[in-house]
Amino acid sequence: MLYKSCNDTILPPIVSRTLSFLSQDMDIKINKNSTKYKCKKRFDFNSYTSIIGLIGNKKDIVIISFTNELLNALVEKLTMGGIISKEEEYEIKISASQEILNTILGNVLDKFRTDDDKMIDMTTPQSFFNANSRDKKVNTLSIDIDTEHGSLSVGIANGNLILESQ
Amino acid sequence: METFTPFVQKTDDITTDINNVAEKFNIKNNEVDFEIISHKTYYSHNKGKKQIVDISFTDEQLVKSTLEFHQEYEIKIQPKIRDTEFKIVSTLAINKNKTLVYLFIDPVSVIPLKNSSIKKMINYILKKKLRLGLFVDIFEPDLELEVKKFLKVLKTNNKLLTKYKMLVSSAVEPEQQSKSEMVFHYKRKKKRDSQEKYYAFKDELVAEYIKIKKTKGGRSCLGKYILPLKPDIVSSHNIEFNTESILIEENDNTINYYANFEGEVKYEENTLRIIENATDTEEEEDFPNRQLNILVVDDALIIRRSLKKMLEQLGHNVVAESKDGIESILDYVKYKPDLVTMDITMPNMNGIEAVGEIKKIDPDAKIIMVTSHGQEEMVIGAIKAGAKGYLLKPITIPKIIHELQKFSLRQEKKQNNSTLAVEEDDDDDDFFM
Repeated sequence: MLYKSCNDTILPPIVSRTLSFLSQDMDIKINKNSTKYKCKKRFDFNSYTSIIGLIGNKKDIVIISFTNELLNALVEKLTMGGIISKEEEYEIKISASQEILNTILGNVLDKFRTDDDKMIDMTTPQSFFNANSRDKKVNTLSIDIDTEHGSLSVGIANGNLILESQ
Repeated sequence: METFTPFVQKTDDITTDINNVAEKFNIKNNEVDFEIISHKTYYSHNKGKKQIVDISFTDEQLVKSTLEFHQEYEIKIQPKIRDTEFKIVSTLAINKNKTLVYLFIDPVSVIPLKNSSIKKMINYILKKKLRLGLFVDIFEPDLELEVKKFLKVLKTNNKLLTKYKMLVSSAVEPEQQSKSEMVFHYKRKKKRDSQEKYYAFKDELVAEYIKIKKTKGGRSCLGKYILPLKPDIVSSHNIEFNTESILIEENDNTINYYANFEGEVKYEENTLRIIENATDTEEEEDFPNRQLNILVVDDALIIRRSLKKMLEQLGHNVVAESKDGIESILDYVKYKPDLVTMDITMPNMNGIEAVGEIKKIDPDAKIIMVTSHGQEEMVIGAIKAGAKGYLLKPITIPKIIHELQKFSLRQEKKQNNSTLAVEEDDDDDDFFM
């Protein structure tokens, strides 16, 4: 079964905010050929992946997965070219991955109100390096975004998604 | 205001160039008694290999700030034009009286100079209180009006800036493109678009002005106004800000002008005038413009680093970074910072609890919450615990400046009202306007 028949209303605002975050806040050029949503039974993970769970009526898991190259560029932008030591490189990348997802999702959260007009909540982010899904048949809806510095995938999965780092 | 007299001159050497500028504009010797405090040209070929070609300076701190400031610029060449990536080519020359006499901007491309780049430079100039005239040397003739527009804003904002002249250097060899051709092309383009833009601009501004009048009950007001204007409209019309409490933020389709001030809003012809009432500038300058010792509290390393860099870029000093609420209390006692930026969701002790504890130790502690959308209820909790403001992620330098300016206004209010502190309810209103 495809993910909610691919008529999901959660992902488009997240994708929209991701695009504006990249292009406006981070000044990263988006390549135009990346606008197709993919309904699949697996998620194609890149090097650095962060997930946040939605709490409330919607119990989806929001996934963002960056290539190493793109995350490097984002870290450089966020730290304004600040020098990162080898020791803290991994920690800062994980931190950036989490914060970006947290910020993007936080910025669109008020669009996902429940039937009684309450805002839904979200979990704290979790991150994985070279993530792997234990369940090989998780329904996902996702989109790949190509940028001048590499790509990222943004998607949602049903609540059964369990990830581990390889 | 001086009129602009663009002319073509190829620029190679900064010292020769300034002498040429002086000669062209009949500048007296004492007016160009300058020191080059920063001359930075760094670029990368084929990605990644950055080289600093030349840096000469005398004032270490100023140069440090300048260089950090310059790193904000990232100007990329369109691949079709040149397979080279430039970061920034710019020069500030300041004389012995800290007068900016020369500003060199070279975007080295036909890509329109981004408003944000010039704005950042102008913010820097305003912040550092650099004064008097400046020369703007740009490589692209098409940038002339863009730069001119922002110089106008600069001139309006900085009363000490009395005159400026612009030197247009063309990347094209002078013999290939004459001065008259250059000017003619530009004027023709402008005329074609102007009428349509004028009406759109006028309608939008009048609507906005009426809204302000209705909601605020008159021309004299105190508050925050957001005037969304399309960039192409802004570029061809006048907006005069006689206030330093103005912030400019760009979105994809609009530029938002945030005016947080007490004074008048006037609309006449095609000009919106925002006029701030006279204030005691010394008092106003005190909090946001002096160097603050700041404690940054956040469990996310990337946010700590990012905030530190931005605050330092604004001339402040980050005394410590704390990873959770408990650390923040210990660091507060140890460093006694002027200001704390506090994350809300953290391990061990969250930001709201930490605010409460710090306020018990020091009731005058100044704390700004750092938060995402969707945490407004938690921000209210933090404000009740004693926080004085909040920064919404993603954090940007204009947002920080804005928040610090709010402190300034509150400081002023408090000084004006010697018997009572500003009521907490008033503060709350400010946060969610």
